[in-house]
Amino acid sequence: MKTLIHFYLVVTGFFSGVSFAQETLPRGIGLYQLGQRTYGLQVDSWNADGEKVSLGSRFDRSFDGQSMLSGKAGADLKRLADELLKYEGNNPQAAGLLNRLHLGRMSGDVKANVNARFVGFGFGINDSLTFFFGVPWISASVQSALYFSGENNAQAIKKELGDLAYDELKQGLDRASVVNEQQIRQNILDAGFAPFEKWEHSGYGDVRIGLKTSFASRLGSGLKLVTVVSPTLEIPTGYTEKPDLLTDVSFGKGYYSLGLAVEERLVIARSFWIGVDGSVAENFTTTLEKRLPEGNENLPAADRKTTVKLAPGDDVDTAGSLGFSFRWISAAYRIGLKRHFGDTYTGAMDGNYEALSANSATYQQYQQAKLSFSTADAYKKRSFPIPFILSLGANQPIVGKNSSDETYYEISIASFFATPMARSDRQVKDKKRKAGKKRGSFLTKTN
Amino acid sequence: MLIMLTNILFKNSFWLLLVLALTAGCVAETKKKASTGRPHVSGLAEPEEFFGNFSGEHLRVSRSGSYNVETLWALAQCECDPVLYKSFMERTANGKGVLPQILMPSVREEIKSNTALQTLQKIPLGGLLADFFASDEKLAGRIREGLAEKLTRAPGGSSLASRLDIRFDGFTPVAGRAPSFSVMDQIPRWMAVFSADGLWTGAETVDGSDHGLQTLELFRSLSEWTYMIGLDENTDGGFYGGLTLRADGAGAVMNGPIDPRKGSDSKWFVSGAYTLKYDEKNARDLATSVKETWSHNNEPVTLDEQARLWHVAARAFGRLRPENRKSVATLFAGGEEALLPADSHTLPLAFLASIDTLLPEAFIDRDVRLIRASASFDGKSSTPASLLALSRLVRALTSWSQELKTADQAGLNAETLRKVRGAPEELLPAIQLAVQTILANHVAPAVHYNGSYGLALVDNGKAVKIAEASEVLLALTEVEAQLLDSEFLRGRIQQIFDWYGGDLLQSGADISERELLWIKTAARAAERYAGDRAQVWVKDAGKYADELLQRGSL
Repeated sequence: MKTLIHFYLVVTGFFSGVSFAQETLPRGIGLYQLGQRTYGLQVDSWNADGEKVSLGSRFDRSFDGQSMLSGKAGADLKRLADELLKYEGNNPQAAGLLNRLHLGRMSGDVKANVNARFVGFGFGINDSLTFFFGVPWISASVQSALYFSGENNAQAIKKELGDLAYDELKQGLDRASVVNEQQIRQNILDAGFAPFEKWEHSGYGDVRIGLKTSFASRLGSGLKLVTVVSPTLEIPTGYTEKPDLLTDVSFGKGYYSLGLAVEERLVIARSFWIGVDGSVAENFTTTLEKRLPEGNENLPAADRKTTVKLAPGDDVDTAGSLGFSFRWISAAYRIGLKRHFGDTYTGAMDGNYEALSANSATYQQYQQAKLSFSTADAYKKRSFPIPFILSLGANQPIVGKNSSDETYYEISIASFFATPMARSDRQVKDKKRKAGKKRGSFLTKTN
Repeated sequence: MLIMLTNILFKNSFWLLLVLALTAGCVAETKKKASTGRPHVSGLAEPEEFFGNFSGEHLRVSRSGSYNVETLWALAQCECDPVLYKSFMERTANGKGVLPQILMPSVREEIKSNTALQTLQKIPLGGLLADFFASDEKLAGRIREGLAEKLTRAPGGSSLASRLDIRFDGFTPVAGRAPSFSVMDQIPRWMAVFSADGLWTGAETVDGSDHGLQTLELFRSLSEWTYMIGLDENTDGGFYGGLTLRADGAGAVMNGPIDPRKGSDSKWFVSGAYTLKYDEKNARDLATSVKETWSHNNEPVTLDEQARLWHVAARAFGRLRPENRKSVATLFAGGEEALLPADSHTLPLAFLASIDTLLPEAFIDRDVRLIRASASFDGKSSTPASLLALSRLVRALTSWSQELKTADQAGLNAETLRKVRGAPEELLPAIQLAVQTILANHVAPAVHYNGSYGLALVDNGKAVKIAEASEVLLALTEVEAQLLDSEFLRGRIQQIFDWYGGDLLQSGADISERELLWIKTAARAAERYAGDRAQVWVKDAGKYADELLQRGSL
């Protein structure tokens, strides 16, 4: 239940607004970008089998004999199941006491609302190297409710055992016969968890800093190949899940991540392009506090809190894209898949570390669309006073495993500013003439 | 005549031999039929066929090796082998015990209080006369006469003393040898005394004559218990006997005499083997001046032994209770001259102290719900009790529970009643734990053990044999019938009977006398579960076992 919402928000791509212009900024030119991303109401996610399930499904649990025996229904009910199993020679029979025991079914209703704003900054260190920096500000709220339904036959089992059941067992069956959502809720609170019906938080996500360089080569008349390389570093400044909260959502990864992205794009007739990109991120070991379960228990008690070492799996992302631009308008479509390899937990305390890393490997196929409106050319021709790029974007997962439904809509606006390091138009023309190449100012397209 | 005729008809010796052989066969066959003149149960197959023994040999019950604790324990439950019962009891009645009769307290006090002997001893040289009048042979004869006189007051009277050279030794060993006896050795005899209905219900006598044999063994058993606990005061201010033990560290040490009547909270029990030592003297001096000493072998106190002992005590209490004395009224008649005191039924209650001492901590680890095979006084042992020990515990505690439920009708004084009234409720958790442990660790689908029907009883990874299975079934049926009303338990018992009747009894192996005794007991227990196919087989098995036991010979 701790992974009720494994909703790590990766707020990236806030630099994408300028991806249709020069991949790098000219020396001395800066860029700032503001954006708003709305995830909307989250009610479902993908499970480990790739099936779309409701967020509340992680509460879903049948309180039957086998579940109780496995510890998924708590320590007390496990003990009850253990004792009943003894009467069957520790060998559950199909129609035996344990397999017939049923206390009901618990289900949950969970809704999450997430919004993010981001601020990005870029600066051209030189004509071929740009530094960028960005940080999101995230607001999230999660509402949860538990329901208990179904028949409870604990009293029938008690009657069948009759005088064979000793007093403690009879009392256990009596308590089991009145299991309901209030009891479960109280069990959760008694285990030291905070009330889970509503949780909300606002705060920073992880900071991303990076460099970007690109180079282009002409392949022929109207054909150009552009290569963009971008190393990045993510700094874990975002909020991460707390061990005493059941329904909180991490805003950051919780560990440092060093990534490298490479993009190859074929530009056709200066208006169309098709490309592929890929990125790999190496994630670094960190320590954090977790409640370490024993066996199959779902609600480790407060005394199971311990510092564990997390060795996160790496991340990979690959995608293909295509787009076009015409005068002030440009549009792009990208389809890709990303994968996070499973995490490994270790620590000094004895317990079930595998349970912590269960479902940590994620996979998602997604598609993105973007529409941009740029005044950069008009500004260059002095027909518009302010250079800016307004972008509207959408992201939609197609399929996934152990991943959230990260459908979002985004709007961003980016603009530019010059620093004393920037060259004037005349200096740019001089440089081009010396280089024997025609280059426009920073706002010309890369074709 | 036959041989002469043969010579005339056959001149060839070969033919002669053949005729003789054929003739001998006919005679043998006639004898065989004569020995099985007892009619078969009509409509049933031959017992040999039923039990799968197709050897073709006439299945005879061999008595050799019958004098072992387990066979005699089976005998005590069954009451279905009068021949063996009589043989066993007569062996004790005239056998020499570890404690010579001259050292039995009642005999010693009788001799000490004999005024004629005392007078003779005081006269100078009268000691020689005293020796003459109190020679070993004369004292033995006098003891026999005393017993004979007492036995005339047995229900229906008894001429046992005229048929058998009876003695009143204590602790006749079954398998052990003097000067040691073990409690386990004595238990089957004590149980046989109190379980055989003959004396207690006025039913058939155990030896076909009168109730003298059972009565004599009753006297002996009660005297032995009195001696073991140390209740008999001697005229020197001390007590005779006192073989109780107490826990000391991880083991047990001799504790001496205990008088439960004085409300002592002393934690005691009796267990294991005891060795007697005394100076060899003539009978008179033994009776009047010797102080015997006992040592204990300090072996583990096993649940098996203690459960059987507690069961015997419960049985004894049940038989001796005032409301159950109708058939033995003559033993209690006569006021001061009664053969047995009116409060004889309180003697078995003394063994409740050992239940209190050993069961809650030494035998049962409540934290992990474990019943130990041996008493652990330091709480360190974790060896679980065997299936048989558990079933014997169930029977013992069930018996006590049933007896003490109606304790207020047993004519007990207020103080005793106060102590025992809560016992059934206190014993119930132990009974429930024992049954749960049996079901948890010793019951499994028969198909896992080469069986076909129901649930098998297992121990140490193997299905148990007939005797063990019968005793366990007896325990489970008793507790279900008398104490634990449970639909689930009834279902399990029926499934175990399915395996017992469908697989175990049909296994084709040879069957011992002990097993035949237990089959009869199990068949009686199975009557409660009529209607099931296996129960029908079990009932048939009981009839066949009865027939085979009747066929057996000494």
